[in-house]
Amino acid sequence: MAFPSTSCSVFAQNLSVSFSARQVINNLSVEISSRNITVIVGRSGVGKSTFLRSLNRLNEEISGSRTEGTVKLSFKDGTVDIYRDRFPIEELRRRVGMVFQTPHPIPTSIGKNLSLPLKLVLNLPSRKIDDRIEKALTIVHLWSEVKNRLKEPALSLSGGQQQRLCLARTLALEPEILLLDEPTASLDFKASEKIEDLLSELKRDYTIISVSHSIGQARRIADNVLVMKEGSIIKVLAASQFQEKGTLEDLLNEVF
Amino acid sequence: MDTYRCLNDTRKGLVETLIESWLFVAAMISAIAVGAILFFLIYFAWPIFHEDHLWKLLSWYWRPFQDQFGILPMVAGSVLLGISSMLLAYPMGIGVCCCVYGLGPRWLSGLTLMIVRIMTSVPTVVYGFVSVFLLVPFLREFFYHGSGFSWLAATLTLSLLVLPTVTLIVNAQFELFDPEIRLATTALGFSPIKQLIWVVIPASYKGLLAAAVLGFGRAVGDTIISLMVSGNSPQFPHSMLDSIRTLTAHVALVVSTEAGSMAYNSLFAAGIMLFGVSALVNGALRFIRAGSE
Repeated sequence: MAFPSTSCSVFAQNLSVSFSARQVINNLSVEISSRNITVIVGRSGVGKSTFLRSLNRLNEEISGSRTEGTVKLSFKDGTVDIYRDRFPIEELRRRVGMVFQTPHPIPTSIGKNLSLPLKLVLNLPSRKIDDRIEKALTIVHLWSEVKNRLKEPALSLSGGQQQRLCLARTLALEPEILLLDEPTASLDFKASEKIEDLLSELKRDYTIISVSHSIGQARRIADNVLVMKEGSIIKVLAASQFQEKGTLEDLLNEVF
Repeated sequence: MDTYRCLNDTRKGLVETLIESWLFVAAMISAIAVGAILFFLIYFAWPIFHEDHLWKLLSWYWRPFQDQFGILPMVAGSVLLGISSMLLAYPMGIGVCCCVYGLGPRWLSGLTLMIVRIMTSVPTVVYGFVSVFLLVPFLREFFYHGSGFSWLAATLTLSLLVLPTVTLIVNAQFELFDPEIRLATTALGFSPIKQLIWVVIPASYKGLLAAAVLGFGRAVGDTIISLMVSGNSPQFPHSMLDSIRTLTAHVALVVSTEAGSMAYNSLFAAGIMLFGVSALVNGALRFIRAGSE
């Protein structure tokens, strides 16, 4: 099957994911456009995170998982059918970066959290690594805060800083699609605001798919909202449909 | 209600006091026992250190009938056997853990760990017995050298004995590693082997050190294996096919044939050395733990 349209970055068809016979994603089909922020909303346990993890094949790391259906991702150099093509899984995960709900820095220094992936995943020479680290930390507005403490443990950073570090770590690898699993859930409103502003800047270069529990956040940053229920996407809303305050809440109240 | 709570508190207090006293008594008994062992070792070995016999102890010749009681060959035997069996068991143990922790297929992980746990419950003498009848004749025929009872035979057998100690400590440390960080690094594109080498192992170095120290302590402290398969010649080995005698086997051998003689008394010096090794192992462990706080 040809990729639906040139502006489409993610295409899933009849996607089903189960864990030890418990169906989590149920015959899901969706098209997600590139260089946009798509926010997935839905109640807890409807399969939002599982859907995100099916886009970088991370469900396979969880025992008992089984995935069926088609997921095609469009990269700069072509389209990959991730469950059928023999595309290296490490390279897929590099290109489809993911940031989790709570920050998980590697228990080492701030600098090494960025340099290790660059060295091991991209095999970059050391002279290029320093530039890449500075660039990534500047994008997430963390460089000025940590440039003199790159050798200090990453765990000495605050929660918000750790989350931005994890985002920088992912961005440094220059992914093409960015998956965010409730990236601001563990942050205070000020730190959340920073991340939201950042995402609005980043969408110029990346296709961003984010899970969010905050309707306000979805309204502020989303170009499209996907509403999930019982493992399927039941509604797709475009930004023009929910710009007025309260309309998104009303629309979601209807479907929940 | 207040009366009831009061009564309850008193009861709880009594139980807590009883438990605390019991734990205190148990700890004191252990401490006194260890102290007494050290005291008696030094007390009985004192004549050797006190008189001009000391040079006889620190020699390379154990010839009790010629009044030579050198324990250096046995010290060398224990240290060499400890090191050689660890050189084999340590990388093997870490390899088993890496296989269990993501490098091998999932079905193999559970099976391997089960086998390793069963290995801990096999009596040491069984390892020795199997070696005497299988490994020793094989080495004798394969190398055409000596009787087969050798440093090599003891190394191979002892490394099997030490393997579960190393594996279980390292595995416990690997399991402590946060699975969420593992998932996050997998999502970055780390292959399982890169994740182990660059993320999990560096974060687990204290467990790796503890496994090395405890494994070495177990290898040096073992008696039965070295007694059964090392050949027990009190000499410095010139090849791995030569026979050696360890301090522990030496104590066991001499105690079974001597009593009250100078040879017998020299065993207390051997005992002090083993006690010293044990104290060093514990000291090293404390040092490692202190580093983690």
